[in-house]
Amino acid sequence: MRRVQRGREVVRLLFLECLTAMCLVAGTVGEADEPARAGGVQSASDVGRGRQLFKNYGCSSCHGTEGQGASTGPKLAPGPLPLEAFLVVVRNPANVMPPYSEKVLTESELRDIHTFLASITAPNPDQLREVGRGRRR
Amino acid sequence: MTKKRAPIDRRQFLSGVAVVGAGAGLTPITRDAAAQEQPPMPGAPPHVDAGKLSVPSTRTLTSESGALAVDEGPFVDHPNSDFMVDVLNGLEMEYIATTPGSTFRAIHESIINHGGNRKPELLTCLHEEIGVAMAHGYSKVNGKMMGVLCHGTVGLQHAAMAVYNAWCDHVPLMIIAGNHVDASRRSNWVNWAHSAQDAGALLRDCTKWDDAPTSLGHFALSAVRAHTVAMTPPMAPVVLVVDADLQEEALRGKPPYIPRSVAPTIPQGDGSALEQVAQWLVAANKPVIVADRLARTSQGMGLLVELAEVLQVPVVDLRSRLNFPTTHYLNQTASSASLLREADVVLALEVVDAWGLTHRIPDRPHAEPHALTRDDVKLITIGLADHGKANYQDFQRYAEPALAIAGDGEESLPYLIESVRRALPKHRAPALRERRESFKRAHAQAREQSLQDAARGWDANPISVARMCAEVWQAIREEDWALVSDSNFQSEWQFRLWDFDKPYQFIGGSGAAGLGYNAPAAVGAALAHRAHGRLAVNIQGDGDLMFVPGALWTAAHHRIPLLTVVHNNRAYFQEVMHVQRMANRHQRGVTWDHVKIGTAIDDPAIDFSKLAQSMGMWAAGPILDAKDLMPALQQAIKVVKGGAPALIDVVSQGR
Repeated sequence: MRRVQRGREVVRLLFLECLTAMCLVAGTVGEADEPARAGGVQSASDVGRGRQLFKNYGCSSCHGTEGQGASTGPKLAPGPLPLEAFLVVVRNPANVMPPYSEKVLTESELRDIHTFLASITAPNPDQLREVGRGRRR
Repeated sequence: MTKKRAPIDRRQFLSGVAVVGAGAGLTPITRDAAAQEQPPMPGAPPHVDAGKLSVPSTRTLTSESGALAVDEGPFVDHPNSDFMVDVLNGLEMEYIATTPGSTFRAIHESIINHGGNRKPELLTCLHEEIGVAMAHGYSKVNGKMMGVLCHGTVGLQHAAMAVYNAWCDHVPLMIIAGNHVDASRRSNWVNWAHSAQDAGALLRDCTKWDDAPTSLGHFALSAVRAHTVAMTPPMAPVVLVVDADLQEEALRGKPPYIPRSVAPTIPQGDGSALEQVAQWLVAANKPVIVADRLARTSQGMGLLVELAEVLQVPVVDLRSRLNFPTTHYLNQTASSASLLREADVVLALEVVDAWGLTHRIPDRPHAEPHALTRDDVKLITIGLADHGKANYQDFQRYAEPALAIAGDGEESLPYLIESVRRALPKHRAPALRERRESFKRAHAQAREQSLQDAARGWDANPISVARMCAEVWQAIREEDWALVSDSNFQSEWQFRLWDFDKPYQFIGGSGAAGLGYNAPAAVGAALAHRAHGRLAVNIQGDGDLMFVPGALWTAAHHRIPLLTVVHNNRAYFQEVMHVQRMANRHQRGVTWDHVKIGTAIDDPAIDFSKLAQSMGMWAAGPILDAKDLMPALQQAIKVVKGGAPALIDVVSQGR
């Protein structure tokens, strides 16, 4: 019985890990070609609305206000998942993330959130230098 | 049979005095006298005037709040409490925390005037929970045991949460609780309310041993035994319940003998079992060492480094103690999930939850557990953590290891290292070199990734937790510093950005995740660091601090140097996420307007700098802009290096 359960879990984990791998690849690429991956035309109001939704629906609680990530949720930006994968993950997340159903978060709202995440830029060299100031004796 | 009437001594006289209201002309009568004057009421015990005793006496009404209205009777030149303080002194007890109470007033006074307030020195605490948590933090830094004076039933109940934290965290401390054992000598209702038939029972489920000595000689024997029991792994709190009358009576004759405290040898894992572990580790292709509450002493870290280097085995540090330097290339905590997934041998050293290490139950309705490791993994546990009690469930789910070795982890390491050296064939050297280079690369990459990750949201508002920790690190890195708070609510950023390479630089968490630990434990730890001139740093959650804000006053009052940086996310943030999860699961009310109800600590926001300043502490904040943080830190560190505590309130993100 445990093996059957374990088998199901393995399939599920494999699926989710593929998704995660996509995320990581997208993240790596995304920092370089972010505007192209954001898809469609971004307006300031879309980004602003997305930021507001990101905060109001509690995404920022676990992922940080800039999608920077924390122990409670992985980094989402810069370079978020492609929109299609993003929609799948939010509806059927792996492990600890609570699923957001259509009933509480519409696809339109999710797209706005994605637009906001896609608008976040990578840390600039000055910021990287600052965080590195205290680094390594 | 004729009943003998005992002579009325001071205590009996006082307890028998009753002043029957103002209208009665303040006429003192003894209970025995009253019994002689009136016939007993039906059903009342002989010699007790139930009617008169039901009227509160002046002594009753004033005993807790004002001067006593009656003659205190003859002097006592050599109270038993002096001897009790001598016993504590003999145990090398440096400090004893107190929230004052009448059930131990004689010991209190003896510490001051007989002991000269040295060894033990009294630490004034504004709640017993603070005193116990201070003892908890103190012991984890220097390995010594602090005492805590508790005022009867009420003090013990106030102390209970903190004792449970110490119990789960395997930390020794000695609680000395006053009690009025002899009911016939309790002078008023307060004495009754503050007494228990079996006071030790209040904490028995989360203490290792307790006793209620009935004589001075008994006190000496039990205090020494309590010390030995508490300090022997698995270490834990102990309780001595000391009768108030015993404390206050005069020492008659020669003081009783005080035995020497003889520390027993520490239980070590069985030799042949450790040989088996060595064989498995040497033969393994993907071994992993996981350490949790392992490093009991300053030797523990060095021993684990030695074991890991002999085999070039990666170490995952779960950090109930600081077991392994973050700067060492074999510290692969960042890769724990993948290492465990691939491991063929997992050596779990004093791991609190070995089942949880290798399994997970997703937080979903009706979710089944799944393994995080291979089916054929050999899980080896070494530790004393399973030696618990039945009621509280802190012993965790049964782990079903391939080999379980009962013994202290740190104490077992030298034998294990030698066994591994003997078992390791020379032809493995090239493979070990390859492992070493691979882990060096992974370690360097993980540290670089941490820098990149910390830069994300660098200028965010509220201030990102990574930025807060990075700024603190830049401010302290040239000092001889020690982190005296846990790190999990800061997403472990301290461990991703700071260089932990000395055993005293971290003390782990609370043990039971009971709030109200961190602030006072940090003060206790800082007290222990003060003797070494170290800069103690506490990154302090706002919710935890508001359980025990009085800890700030104790730090200020006793001039305990401590830098407190309040991670002020203005919420019980863990619960924000739990309510969010439930709202998602129920598909309703997921927005902040709903989730904040019952979780947010806002409206009004608490000004922690004003709170600290009100208790005489230097403080700055609320810091809203990250650019203001470094100047505040620099000022605060000057204050702390001058010998006083300082606090900075940083309004920051949840995690």
